[in-house]
Amino acid sequence: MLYLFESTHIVILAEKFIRELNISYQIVPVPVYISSNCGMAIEISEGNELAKKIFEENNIKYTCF
Amino acid sequence: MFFLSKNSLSILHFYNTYFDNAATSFPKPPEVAAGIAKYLNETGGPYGRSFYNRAVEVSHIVEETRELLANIIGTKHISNLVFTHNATHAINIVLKGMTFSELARLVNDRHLKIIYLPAYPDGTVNIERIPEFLSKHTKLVVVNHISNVNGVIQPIRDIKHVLGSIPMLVDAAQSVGDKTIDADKNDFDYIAVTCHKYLLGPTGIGGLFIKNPELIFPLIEGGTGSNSGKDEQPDFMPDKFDGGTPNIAGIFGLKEAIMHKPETMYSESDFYYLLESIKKTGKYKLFSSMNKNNRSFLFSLNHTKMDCSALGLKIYEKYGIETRVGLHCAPFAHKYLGTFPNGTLRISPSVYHKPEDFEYLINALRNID
Repeated sequence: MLYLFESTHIVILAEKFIRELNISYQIVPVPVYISSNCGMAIEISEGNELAKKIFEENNIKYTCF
Repeated sequence: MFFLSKNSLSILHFYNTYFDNAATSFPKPPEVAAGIAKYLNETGGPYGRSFYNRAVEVSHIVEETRELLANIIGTKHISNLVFTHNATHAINIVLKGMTFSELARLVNDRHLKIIYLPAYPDGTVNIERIPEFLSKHTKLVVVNHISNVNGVIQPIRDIKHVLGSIPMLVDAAQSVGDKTIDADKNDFDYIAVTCHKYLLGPTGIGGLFIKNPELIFPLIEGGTGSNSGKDEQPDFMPDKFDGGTPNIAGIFGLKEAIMHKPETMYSESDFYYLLESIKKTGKYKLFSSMNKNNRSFLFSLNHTKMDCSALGLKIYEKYGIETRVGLHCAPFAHKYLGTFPNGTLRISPSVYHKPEDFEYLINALRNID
């Protein structure tokens, strides 16, 4: 799944929490079919439920595709 | 800044003769230059804006540094801290971004009055008398945490307590890195900092903490890497005030400065001895706090027989001692202290000064005629 965040500040914060979960992820450009934003999105193949849980616990707003 | 001299045993000594740290501190921890060089030579890349490792690494360092600086000023609201060029830039964001913007025009049209808080002779704010100076029209109170002229530390916590809901801007240019600010605990509205003084960071990097970002407009608008498809500046933090690429090299240096700040190499009693020894020469009038409890480690003086410019030049030419003479960009402080328009000679040590450097300074001031 692909996670989009409001700002670089939040992407880095989100990544910090994902690292704690020890799940694999990749920082990728935001696909143009979603947004013309330049910047970073986070792609997670496995462990999405854990990631969503930790984002919500830490009040990190995201959009998921 | 290091002056070579011989003592009576003909042993060579180097003294730290740089006493202008209230302007810009020097030296810096060696890691600061290494951090800047690492960014310029190795890491490179933008903050945000891209997905590759170089950009991610830079973004990590920027955010880690933001968090470190937020910890120093005492806030858990990390995204409410934005990087600026310095404290002046930070203060301008507040003054020109508030709803009563166009400050100068308002002053000229007499719609806006600047009122000075009541104070004791050394400039310490008289808290008990503050309410007399406030009204329903008071929009902002600005307090210089530590005077860059005589080193008085203002009781910022008590001032905010008296102000209640009136917004307060703390100018922490001289105090950040040296004194506790406690942004959240004291409910401060705005805190302006610069990192090239007592944080020992590089020039060109500062910060602004904004408790309620919705109350002010950004001074600069432009690309942040977010909301790229829209014409408007983002309204969320920190992007609202982060238009344009930040001083990333400076941020790399700042992180190292925060991580490697040395212990102060002189004690409070060494500083007290310095003040007392200068007083004992009988040649100088000192400008410092009347109260030991709100005295920081910078002060001013004037020679009884020569002006501060002549004195500054003499101790530089004869002893290599570097000081700041004049008005220190603080005309109102000098008017209040009775030292306008000539100003004073300011002495501002850094954590790197040792007692023997103070002794060298005392000796120089004693021997100047």
